[in-house]
Amino acid sequence: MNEEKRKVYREFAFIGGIISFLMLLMVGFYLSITVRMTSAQRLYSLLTAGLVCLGFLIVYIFFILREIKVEMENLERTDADDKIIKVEKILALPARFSFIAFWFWAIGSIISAIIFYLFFGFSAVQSIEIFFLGMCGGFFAPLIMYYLYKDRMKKFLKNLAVKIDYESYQKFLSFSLPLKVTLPFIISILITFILIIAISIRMRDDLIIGVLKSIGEKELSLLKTGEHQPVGGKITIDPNETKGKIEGTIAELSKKGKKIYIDPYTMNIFVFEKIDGGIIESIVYPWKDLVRYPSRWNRAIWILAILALAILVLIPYLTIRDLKSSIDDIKNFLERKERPTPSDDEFNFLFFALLKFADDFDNITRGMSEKVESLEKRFSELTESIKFVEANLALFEDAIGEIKKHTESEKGDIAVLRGFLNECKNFFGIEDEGVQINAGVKNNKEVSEEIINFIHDSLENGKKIFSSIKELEKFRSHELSQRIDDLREDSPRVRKIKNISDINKMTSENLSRIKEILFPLDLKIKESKEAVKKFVGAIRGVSKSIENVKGDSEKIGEIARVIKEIIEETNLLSLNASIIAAQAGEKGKSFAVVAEEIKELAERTEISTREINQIVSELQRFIENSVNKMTEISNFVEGFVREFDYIDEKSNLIISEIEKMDNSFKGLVKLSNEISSFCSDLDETAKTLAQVFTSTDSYEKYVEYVKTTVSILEKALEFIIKSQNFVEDQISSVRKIKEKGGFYLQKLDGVKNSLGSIDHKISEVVNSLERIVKLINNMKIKIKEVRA
Amino acid sequence: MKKEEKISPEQFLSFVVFRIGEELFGINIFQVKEITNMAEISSLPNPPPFISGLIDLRGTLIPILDLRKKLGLPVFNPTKRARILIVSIKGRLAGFIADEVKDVIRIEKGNVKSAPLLLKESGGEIFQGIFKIDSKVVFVLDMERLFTEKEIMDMKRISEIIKKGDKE
Repeated sequence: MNEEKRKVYREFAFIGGIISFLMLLMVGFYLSITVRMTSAQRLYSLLTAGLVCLGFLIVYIFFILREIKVEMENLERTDADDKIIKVEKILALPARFSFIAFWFWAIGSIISAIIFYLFFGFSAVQSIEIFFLGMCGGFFAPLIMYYLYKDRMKKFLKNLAVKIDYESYQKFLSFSLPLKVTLPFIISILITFILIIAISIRMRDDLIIGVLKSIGEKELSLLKTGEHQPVGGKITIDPNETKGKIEGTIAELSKKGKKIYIDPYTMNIFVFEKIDGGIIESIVYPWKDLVRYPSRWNRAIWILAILALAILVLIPYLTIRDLKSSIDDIKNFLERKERPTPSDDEFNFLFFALLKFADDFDNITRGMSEKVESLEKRFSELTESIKFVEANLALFEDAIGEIKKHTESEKGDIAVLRGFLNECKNFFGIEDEGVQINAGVKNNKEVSEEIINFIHDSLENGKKIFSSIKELEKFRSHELSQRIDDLREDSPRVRKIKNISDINKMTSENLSRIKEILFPLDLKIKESKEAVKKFVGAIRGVSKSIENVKGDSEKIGEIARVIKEIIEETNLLSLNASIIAAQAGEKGKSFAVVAEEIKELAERTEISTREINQIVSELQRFIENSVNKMTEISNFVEGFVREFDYIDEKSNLIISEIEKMDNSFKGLVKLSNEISSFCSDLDETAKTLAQVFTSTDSYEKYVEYVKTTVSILEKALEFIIKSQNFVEDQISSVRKIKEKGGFYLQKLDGVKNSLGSIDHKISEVVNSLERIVKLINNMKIKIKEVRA
Repeated sequence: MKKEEKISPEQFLSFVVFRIGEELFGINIFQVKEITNMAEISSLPNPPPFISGLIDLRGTLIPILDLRKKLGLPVFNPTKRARILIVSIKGRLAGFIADEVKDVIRIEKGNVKSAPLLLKESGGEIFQGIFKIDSKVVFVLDMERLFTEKEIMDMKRISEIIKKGDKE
C-alpha cells in the first residue's frame, strides 16, 4: 500500500514536471514570435526555471510524504477530538501539494530570471518574460495534473480518507475541496496568459516604434548626444572578410542603400553610417537600451503587469482562506455530532446511519485485516510445514536412494541366494540332477539294511554257535568253523560300512560349505532389514508431515469460510448503505459512491476468496491423494517388512535345519566309525573264536567269547537302528529345506516386485507433493490479492 | 452511471429488489428502513393470521409479517441467503422474510409499467406496477396497500402492547 502510494506520488511529480515543462515550451514558442529573445536564450532560461522548480518539488515531495506518514502514525495514537484536527491536517496535505507546486514554479522562474539577468546579459524585459513564462507553467502544472489524474487523485484521496476517518472523507467530498483549490488557478492562469501576450505584443510594438523614432533625425541625435548613448558602440564590417550571417546581411543591405537593420535573433539595431569602398561602419544599438526609451505605453504596461502580479499573489491567498473556511466547516460539522439538532430529523437519521456505518465498516475492515493476518500467519506456518515436508522429501529421497541401493545389493544377495539354493539342490539331490545325497542316503539305507541283515545273520550265527556249544560234543568243529568263516567272509560288508562312513564325511563337509554360504547371506538379510526399518521411519515422517499439511489446509478452509461470512456481512452493509444513500437523495450522493465501492470491494474479495477456496479444495484433494499414496506405501512397506521378517525367520529355520542335519551327519559319521570298529572287533572275535576252536581252549572261555560276540552284535544292532533314525531325520530335513528354499525364492521375488512398486508409488507421491507446493504458491498469490 | 446522472433525479425510482420463492419483488426504497440478517423469531401468543412473530432489532421489538401467506406463495424453509427487510408501514416498523435480497436498483420512471388488470383484480391494488431486470419481471409491492385497515390496526395494537411492555 505504502509502496503504491509512493508510486502515485512519484508519478504525480514526474508527469506533472514533464507536462509543465512541455507547457513552458509551448508558451515559450508562442511568445518567441512576439517577444524579442533568441530561441536558444529562451530554451536555456526555461530549462533553468523548470529544473529549479523540479528540484524544489522533489525535495518537497519527500517532505510531504514523510509528513503524511508521520501524521498517519500519530493519528492512530490520538484521541477522537484531536483526530479531527489531525485528519484535517492530513487532508490538507495533498491540496497543499498543488499550491506548493505553483509557488515552486514561481520561485524557480524568479531565480532563473535573476540568474539570466545577472550572468547572461539578459535585459530586464527578457528576465520578466522568463518569470512570466515560469509562472504560466506553474499555473498549468497543477491544473493539468488535476485533470489528467482526477480519478486517480480522487481514489488516492478516498483511500487516504477511508483509512483515516470515513466521516471526514464524506464531508471532504461533499465540500469538493479539489475544485475549490483548482478553480482559482484556472482563473489566474487565464489572466496571466492574456497579460503575458498583451504585454509582449505591446512591448514589441513599443520597441519598434522606439527604434523607428530613434532613427528619426531628432531622436537619433538625442541618442547620439549621450543622453541615451548606446553601449554597443561602433563596429566596422569588411564585406570581403565577412563570414557571419549578420555582418553579411548588413553588408548586402547597405549595398542596397538601406540605413537600418534590426537583427531578428538578437533584436540589436544596426544603423549604417559610412560605406567606404565596401567597408561599412555601423552604430549598434543593443535593444535592451532601446527599451529604456521612454514611452507612454510602457508605463501603462508596467502598471498592468504589477496589477497582474498582485492578483496572482492575492488569488492563492484567497484560496487558502477559502480552504481554511472549508476545513472549518468540516470541523464544525464534525463537532455537531455531539449535539444533533432535533428538528433536522432526516439529516440526523442519515448522520447516525453514517456513523453506524463508519463504525461497522471500521470493525469489518479491522476484522478482515485481522483475519487476513491470521491467515497470513497460518500460511507462514503452512510454508514452514511445507518446508518441513520438503526437507522430509529430501530425507525421503535419501531413503529411497538407500532402498534402491539396498535393492541393488539385494539383487546380488538374491543371486547369492539363488546360487546357494542351486548348491543346496546339488547337494541334496532335491531336483533331478543332485542325486548324490539321495544316493548316499539310499546307500545308507541299503547298507544299513544290509548291515542289519548281516548282524541278524551274525546273531543267528552266534546263536547257532551258542546252541551248537551244547552240542559241541556231537558236532565237532567243522560246522562251527564254517559259521565263523561266515562271519569272517563278511569282511566286504565291513568295507561297505567303511564306505558309508566316507560318504557321510563328505556330506558333512558339504554341509559346512553350505553353512559358510548361508551365514553371509543371513548377515545381508539383517542389513536389508535395517535399511527397511530406516525406510519405514522416513515414510512415517513424511506421512506425519503430510497429515500436518492436511490439518493446516483444513484450517485455511476454515479461515476462508470466515472471510466468506464477512463478505456476506459486507454485502448486507453495502445494501443498507445504498438504501440510506438513495433515501438521502442529493445529500447521500457521495455516500452512494462509497456504498458502491464497498460492494465492489466485497465482490472482489469474494472472487479472490472463491479462488482461494478452489485452491484449498484442490490442495486438500492433492493432500488427500498424497495421504492415500503414503498409506499405500506404508502398507506396502509393512508388507515388505513382514516379508523380510518371514525371510529372516525362514533363513534362520534353514540354518537350524542344516545345523541339525550337520549334527545328525556328524552322529552318523561317529556311528559309522563305531560300527566299523565293532565290525573289526567282530572280525577280531571271529578270529579269536576260530583260534579258540582250533586251539581247543577251555569251555568257559569259549562261552565267554561267544557271549561277548553276542553283546557286541546286539549293541551294533542298536546303533544301526539309531543310524536309521538319523537317516530318516536327514530325509525329512532335506524335504523341509527344499520346501523352505522354494518359499524363500518366491518371497525374494515378491520382495523384488514390492520394491519396484514402492519406487513407483514414491515417485507418485513426490509428484503430488510438487503439485501441492505449486498450489501453495498460487494460494500465496491469491492471499496477497485478498490482502491488497 | 454518468449518463444517468445527467437526467434529473426526479425521473428515477429506487427499489430494493428481493426474491420470495421464485418470484422477484420490489419495494420503493422510501418504504424500506433496513435489511438485517435472519434473526430468531419469537412467536406471539394468539397472533393475528398475518403476523408470524417478533424479532429483537437492537433492543426494539418488531413484528414480522408473513408475506408468503399474504401473497399466497408456498412455504419454504429460510436458507442461508434469507434476510429480514424492515419496512415502514404508515409510520410503523415491521419486518418480513425475503429468501434473498438482490440489489438496490434505480429505474427510470417510464420503465415501470402499471400492473396488468388481471393482477389488480386478483390481488387488489397491492401491486404498484411491474418492471423488468435482465428479462425477469419484478412486481412492485406497495407495503401500505398490502394490508387492510383492520390488519394495520392489529399491527398498531401489537406495537402498542410492545411499547407498554417496554415501559413496564
